[in-house]
Amino acid sequence: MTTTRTIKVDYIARVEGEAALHITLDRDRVHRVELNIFEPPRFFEALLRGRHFTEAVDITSRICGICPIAYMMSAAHAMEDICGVKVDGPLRDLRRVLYCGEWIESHGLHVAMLHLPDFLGYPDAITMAKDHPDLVKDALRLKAVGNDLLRLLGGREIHPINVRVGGFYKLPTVAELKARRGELDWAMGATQRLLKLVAGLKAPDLRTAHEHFALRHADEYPLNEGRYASTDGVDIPIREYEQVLQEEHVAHSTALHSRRLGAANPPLACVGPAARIALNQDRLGPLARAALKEHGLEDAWRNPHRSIALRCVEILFALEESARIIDGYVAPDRPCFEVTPRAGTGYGCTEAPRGTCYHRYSIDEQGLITAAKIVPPTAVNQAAIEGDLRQFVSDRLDMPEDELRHGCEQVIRNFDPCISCSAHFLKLTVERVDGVAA
Amino acid sequence: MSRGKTLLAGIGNEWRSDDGIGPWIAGALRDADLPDVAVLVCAREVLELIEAWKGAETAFVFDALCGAGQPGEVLHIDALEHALPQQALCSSHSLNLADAVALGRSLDQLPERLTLIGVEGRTFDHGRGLSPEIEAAGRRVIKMLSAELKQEGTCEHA
Repeated sequence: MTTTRTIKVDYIARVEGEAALHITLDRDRVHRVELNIFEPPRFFEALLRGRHFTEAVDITSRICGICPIAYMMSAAHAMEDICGVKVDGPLRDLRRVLYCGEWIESHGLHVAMLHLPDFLGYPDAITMAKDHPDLVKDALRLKAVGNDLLRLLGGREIHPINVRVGGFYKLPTVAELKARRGELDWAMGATQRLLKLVAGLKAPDLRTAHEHFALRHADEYPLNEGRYASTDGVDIPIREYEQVLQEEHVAHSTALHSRRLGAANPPLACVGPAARIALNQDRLGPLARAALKEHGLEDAWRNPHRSIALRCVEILFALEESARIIDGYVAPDRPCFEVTPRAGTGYGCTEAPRGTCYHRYSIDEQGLITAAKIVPPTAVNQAAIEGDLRQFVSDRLDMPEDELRHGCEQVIRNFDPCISCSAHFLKLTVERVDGVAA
Repeated sequence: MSRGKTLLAGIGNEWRSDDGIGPWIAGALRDADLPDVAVLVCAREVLELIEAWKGAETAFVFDALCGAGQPGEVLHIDALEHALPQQALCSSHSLNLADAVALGRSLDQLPERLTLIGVEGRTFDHGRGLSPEIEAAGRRVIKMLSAELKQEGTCEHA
């Protein structure tokens, strides 16, 4: 006899985008876990073909309203790679501050408004705000600090317009940058208070065997540059990315999965704050590194449920890094380097809030794009999300449906997935099959 | 944004035709040199409203409406007394106006008076520019509010 039980959730809040989750299990084991991303493909790679190489920054910015800088930076770096231009000095520093602004606003919103209600037992931030108004007020102000940096350097916070291949269109004045220091100082204090709270939260136990991938730079915590490294020993230049991670289609998702090449029984690939902390904690700024140690978070990257604390550490890093750069900033004599197109292929790989954002482009002599490849972080993380769900459910086969469903949602939110980037969420179906394997 | 007792906030995307009516009205009122007024334009970040409401006694929020009446029709809704529609979001990482009011209430950061002035749009296609009847409706709103706010300013300074 077969008994099937089904739970449906038409829309799971607090993640970016839409998808469905289907889990089939019986009383002994989980048979199938599928994250069904059904968002229509967005064809960005195809619509880039034939466009001028200078347009890629602004076109790819439209992939995401939450992390547009990641796409803009990866595209700019790839084009500069093709054209043999290296953006350095104050312009490189300002790009780091711009990227820090995105980390602050994206991580700040996710930690305090989208993820924290899971741990404090509230359905959403609005309900949480009734009992914790100061916490939510601080979160909103923290997000505003990030948005302010995006506006100052990017022209606006959603789909910024001030980034170009070779640098910026317009530079802020020294006075405009210095004026941000007061709010950055406030934000560092507020983030330390937030970290103290989230580091002490009781997190479900979940140990994974994922291979964590992130950029690793010789002497700085990665944002824009570095070699591509993993917890299993990968250490390659970014142009070799596709020799390690290859995209492939799976029937149940419109977002391409990533498969690890060159390893027998490869582990699942995972990108994001956990991967960056695993590989780069010695590169954090002094404040973030001290906080990581003070709260005993050095190994927290092994448990996805502790990602909330690691995001907080990264907010702290982004704040102190912005302050450091602003304190030493000397205005350059020009807002950008001249970039002349030449035929070739180039690579850009930067660290979005959710993980590595890889771009590859080819252009012709006129500077027209002939090929484009874009790998968003959430696409890479799909298999790891499924793996975590499988493990989470396997350990809780007898858990009541409501609790199981909430737990699964939390597992997914650990990744702060941006599903609209990857190809939106979530219809959850749990199917219990008693006696007969599905 | 300068601080003032009255907040005028326009919500919408100027690059989606009539969705730009909110920012268009707010922008025109900013240029009208009204007393004790602060103006905010939100392309999508409605969260900013909550912070902006904190310093305001009165707030007017201008937004495009879709499906509430005839194109160019103007609705005035007391947002503190009446529930606002829970429209679908294009991002879970942002709030809609109804959520912003709920969050503002939880945080005790709502102005004493909060009015949504909605203008029914005709088209929300890509591109800049308002439909003629939407722009005409916007001009009526601007004229009405300019007179009202100037009168309040004159009374207070008399």
